[in-house]
Amino acid sequence: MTADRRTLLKYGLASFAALDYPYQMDDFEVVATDTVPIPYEDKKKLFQTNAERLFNL
Amino acid sequence: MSAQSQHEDFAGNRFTRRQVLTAAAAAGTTLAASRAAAQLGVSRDLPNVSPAPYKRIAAEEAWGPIEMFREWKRVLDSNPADEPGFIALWRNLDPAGNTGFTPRLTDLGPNRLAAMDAAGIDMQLLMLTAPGVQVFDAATGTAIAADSNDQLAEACRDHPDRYAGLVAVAPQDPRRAALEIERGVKALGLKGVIINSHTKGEYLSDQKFWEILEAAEANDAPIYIHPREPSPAMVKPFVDHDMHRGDLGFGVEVAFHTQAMIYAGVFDRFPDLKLVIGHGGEGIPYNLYRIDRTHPVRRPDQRSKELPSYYMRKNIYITNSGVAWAPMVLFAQQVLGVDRVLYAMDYPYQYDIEEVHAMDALPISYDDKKMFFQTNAERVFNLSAAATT
Repeated sequence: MTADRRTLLKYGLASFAALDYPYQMDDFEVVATDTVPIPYEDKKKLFQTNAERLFNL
Repeated sequence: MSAQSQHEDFAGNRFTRRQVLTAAAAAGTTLAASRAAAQLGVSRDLPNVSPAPYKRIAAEEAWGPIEMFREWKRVLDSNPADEPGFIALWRNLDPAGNTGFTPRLTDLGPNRLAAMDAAGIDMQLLMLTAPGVQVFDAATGTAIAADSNDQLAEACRDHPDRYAGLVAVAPQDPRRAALEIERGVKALGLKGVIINSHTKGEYLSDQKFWEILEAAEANDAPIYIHPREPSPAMVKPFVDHDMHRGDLGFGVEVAFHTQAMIYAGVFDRFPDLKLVIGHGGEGIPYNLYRIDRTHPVRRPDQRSKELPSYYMRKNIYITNSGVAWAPMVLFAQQVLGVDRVLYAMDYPYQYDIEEVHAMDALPISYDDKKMFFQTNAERVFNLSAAATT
């Protein structure tokens, strides 16, 4: 497993979302995005299903 | 776009689609229709706006004396190599004509007041329209700035409850500009300083201009940085794509100017200096997270002591001129604070009564709305003396 893949799994990211790794890599930013005040359905779109649909993942 | 969509040409015409269609039917030609529509001035599409329980103070409203437009024309006719943006935006200027914006820009009398009445605007904060005197040589610019300040101050004295104004200066002569700020505030009763962004490609981040900043701080005069086209070294691709306007060029120019001032340490050196920028903060609120995030890796000589967001919440205020859009206003209030976002219309460039209704309907509390329309402007520009009605 590559370091990138381990990192992504550590932060629970299902897709290559907009963390901008390795240029911008911060625990607090993942937590901040996790806690963005939107409904679960919208959060799932942000983190997962929009990327799956757009990039055919 | 709706029937209310705006058509504009800086030197030519500005009109709504409905006005074009109505006038075209009557006059029979597009050219005549454009001229007729431009002279309508006040839209009759909607009823007038009623008074509100707060004052509507519009904080980025444009004017200019006819003498300046005549001098602009002389500059344009000389086709100066160092003013490509100015030429691109104003090439068709007719300073004495009845077309375009000039009739409404030069008017500080009953027509402007009637337009304000129809739109429910209690007070305009007036400033010399861009690029002002910053396209002239230093002596001409200094003289026309002083004369325009005298004219503006007289209008403010005649209508103290309707007009307040900013001091125009020629940054080409920083010493004279600093003296004019003091005269404008102390002798003429003006409320701040208008800088129409770059002067011959130079920005207030350059220490050669810091006398101006020192005078503004000492006289508690906020500096309003109003857009013009991007500076000569970057304007070519903008003009090539007709992007030197409000769609992008204006915002790039003022965001660059503001960030360059922050990075140069202007607000570390002048901690009480106030800066105001329009058009929703010219993109900076939306980019603020990324601006802060890249700060630590900046070159030390271009890195302010604090993060840029610190100065955005301490020294800098924004208006919503030209952006009557609830998502922008709410976002800016969220990231900067409700005490830092001021209402503006951008008369006469964007005179649209429907936009006043849209801002009256902002989904915010009455207290926050009163700050937005009235009390933030009164506080930042020290309008209390002129706001006694």
